[in-house]
Amino acid sequence: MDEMRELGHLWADTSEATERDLTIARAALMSRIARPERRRPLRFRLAHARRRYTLRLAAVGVLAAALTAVIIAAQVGLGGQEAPLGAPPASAQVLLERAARAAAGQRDLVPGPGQYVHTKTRVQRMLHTQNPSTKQLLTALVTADEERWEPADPGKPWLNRERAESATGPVPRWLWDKGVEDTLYESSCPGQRAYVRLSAWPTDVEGVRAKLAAQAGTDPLRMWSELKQLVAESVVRPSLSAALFQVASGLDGIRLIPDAVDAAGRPGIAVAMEEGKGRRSELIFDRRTYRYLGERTVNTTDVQVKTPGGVYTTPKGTATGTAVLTADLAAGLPEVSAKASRLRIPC
Amino acid sequence: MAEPAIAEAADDDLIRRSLRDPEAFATVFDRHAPALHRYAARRLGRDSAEDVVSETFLSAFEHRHRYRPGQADARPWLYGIASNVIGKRRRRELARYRAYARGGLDPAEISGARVEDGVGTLAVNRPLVAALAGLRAGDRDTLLLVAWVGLSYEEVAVALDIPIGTVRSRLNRARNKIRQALEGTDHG
Repeated sequence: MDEMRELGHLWADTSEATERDLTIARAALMSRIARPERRRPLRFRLAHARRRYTLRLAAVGVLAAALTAVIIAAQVGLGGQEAPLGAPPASAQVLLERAARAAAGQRDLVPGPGQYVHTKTRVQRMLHTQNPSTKQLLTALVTADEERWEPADPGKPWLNRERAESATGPVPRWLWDKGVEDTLYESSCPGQRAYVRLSAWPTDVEGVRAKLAAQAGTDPLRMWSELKQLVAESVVRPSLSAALFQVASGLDGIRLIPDAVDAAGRPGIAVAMEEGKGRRSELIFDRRTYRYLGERTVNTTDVQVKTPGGVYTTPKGTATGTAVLTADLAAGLPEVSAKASRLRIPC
Repeated sequence: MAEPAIAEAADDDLIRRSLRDPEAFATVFDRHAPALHRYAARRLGRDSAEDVVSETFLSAFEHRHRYRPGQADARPWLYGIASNVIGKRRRRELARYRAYARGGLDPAEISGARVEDGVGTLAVNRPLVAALAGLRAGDRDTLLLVAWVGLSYEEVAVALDIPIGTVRSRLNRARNKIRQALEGTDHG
């Protein structure tokens, strides 16, 4: 038994903090930053959940003070030679430039022999189904948690684990909640796994642009679609993300969406492109750090979907997509469900 | 030559800049607080994690003039401070581990995890957590900085301000104890 592997699995699903989780800690720091004469740090004790909620209310005052502090500090910054902090990007190109810098400042995950790249995502997708009794066509927006383990070594299987967590729409739970669904993939093809495919990409902007054009052609929408997929996969290789964002900034048709929300409910700022047929796709970034949060596709009109079971309509404003929660290295695959689907992908 | 814009600056640039422009330190927070919160939550529970993050960054800000130039990545420094902050809550950490090992604490409170559902997982995790509780504090810090944060031996040495040989010996000792606990499970 590999003790480091078991230890790595222990509570590994603990997610990174959201902006909301860090509200008070950030406010405390900003208050401290705004008062350089203070010699002792403020302390915010949040030992118990009950006290936490009390403090959340009390924190309104703290936040107000912190916000004032931010404004004062920003004004000081404006007087200096550096760019003001917190100035929102004025265009999609500026946002992508900042996102490229943020990605360039992150480390690539490089799995060693025997290791796996492990990513956690939250996914929102449409479910179109039919009530078996009434034959009524039903549509729901399903939110699911997904995990994926991809090996560094060739010849090893990789695992996709999914569990639907909630759904909005008139679909009975038993039709969307199948419990934990494991799918184990096997393939002898060297290019099948995302990590291996990613590692074959260059990280210089011109190299990435040329390779992308070789795969997708030079039509901006086709390049965008290919690029969006690569960005989602390259969260483990931010050096590639950085180049991809710079390539994206040169595509005709991109625009800035100041207020976007990813599939995990995190607010962000996005770069979008109209895909036609009533759909707009977006790359969403954190408003402060410009790190990539995820992607989504938004219906800009009611959209009809034709399936063998009938025609379904998804209303204007419906958004589907994927939010990246964590990416790390794992020593091995977790225990796979006995009911796992096993798929062998032929070359 | 102009200094790089905030978003692209390395941690040591930001910390150096924060000596005259304190707000630059907020970028260090934004960059590292989410992951540090996760680490603290795994050790102390989510309820204490924000407290640890807050105290760590306030302390880091107070002592930023001591930051060693040339260290582009601030994680060893920040997690070293966090280790001290967590160390002040050692009783809470141990109580939490022991409660979990006894099964007296709802696992969902610790992780909200589906992976905890499996009886096999619990059978591994309980002795594992009990062994964690039995480690020396320094050994536990060393082990978890490697296992959960992914720091290299050199980075752990910087974080805990100990020689690299001590990192190796602590890690060996901790791993042996964990392994023995898990093997006990296998035979049990």
